[in-house]
Amino acid sequence: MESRTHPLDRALPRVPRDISLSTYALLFSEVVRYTTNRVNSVPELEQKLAVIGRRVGVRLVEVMAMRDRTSRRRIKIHDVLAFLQTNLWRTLFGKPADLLEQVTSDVCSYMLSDHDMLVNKFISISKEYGDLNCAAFVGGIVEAAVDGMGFPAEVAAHTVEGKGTTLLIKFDHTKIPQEAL
Amino acid sequence: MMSLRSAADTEFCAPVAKQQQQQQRPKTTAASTTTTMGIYSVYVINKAGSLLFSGDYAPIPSMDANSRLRLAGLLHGLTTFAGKLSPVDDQSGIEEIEGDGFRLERFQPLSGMQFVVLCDTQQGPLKPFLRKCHRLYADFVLKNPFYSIDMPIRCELFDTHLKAAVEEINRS
Repeated sequence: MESRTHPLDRALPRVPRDISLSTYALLFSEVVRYTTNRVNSVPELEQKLAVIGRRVGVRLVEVMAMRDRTSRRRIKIHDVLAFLQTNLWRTLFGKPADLLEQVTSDVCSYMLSDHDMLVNKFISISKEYGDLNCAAFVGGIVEAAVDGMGFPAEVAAHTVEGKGTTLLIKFDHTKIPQEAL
Repeated sequence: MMSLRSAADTEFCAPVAKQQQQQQRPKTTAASTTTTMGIYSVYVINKAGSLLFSGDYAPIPSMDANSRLRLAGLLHGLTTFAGKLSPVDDQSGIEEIEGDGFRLERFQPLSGMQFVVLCDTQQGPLKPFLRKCHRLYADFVLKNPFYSIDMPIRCELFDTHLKAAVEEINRS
């Protein structure tokens, strides 16, 4: 019989292999279905998905910090955002996010857009779910990741015409030092 | 594989029946005989014989929902019957029906789902297209958390991808 190493026995620095998109999509679909059956409203559903995402994000940012050979701390807000757009997105989806913009009126609000969000690839939202976007799950991952890096923020997922899915990242004014901006 | 060819077939597939078209709108019939239209309609039927999806992709006389449901059930019954008729151990049932003005191709993967396409007689084999329909169903319907199994398919992404697949065939 083929000997298999348990994922937990594998060395952490090793970069994980790609996994099947179909399996991932079916699993995510089941997560959404499970959550849908346990909530009463669309905002509640998004919130629950975000909570599940946060549990992923907390672990992800830790393992990424361990794998990061430069061991550099990101203390500027733009470094954190660049980390999200490239490193985090590449680890999660194998490609950087398409667009990173600052909300003009606010130095602490940013928009991270992806035309082709992987989790939404096979999901059609019917009318009764209104403006639900299942990328709330990814929003939760991002929220936990920035929190782990010391930049607490609120993240909301929106569907934007022409841009695909946009994550609105609102950093907490009060907890971000002036020097980090 | 079974190939049926008879005048009665035109009754079975009313949307493309030649005689009916001549009676109702002679002009469109003249147009459809000169230019090929490729794929007329696509149907998805579940293993119990109920219609989950139907779409028309050519200007053909439309049919009401009840007739579509009835025809899907009838086709399912016929194909079970055809499988039973077969003297050798072959449960594949009807794979193709050819009429004077149209052809019907049917594909049934192991899951028992049935994918049916209606096209004009000049159209080449559509087996690869039906396999693609099956793939689109597996992707955009079954991986959609808001779809419950054996219910009518109302998934926007499935509609758009299927439409693109049909248009690709109709253009070539």
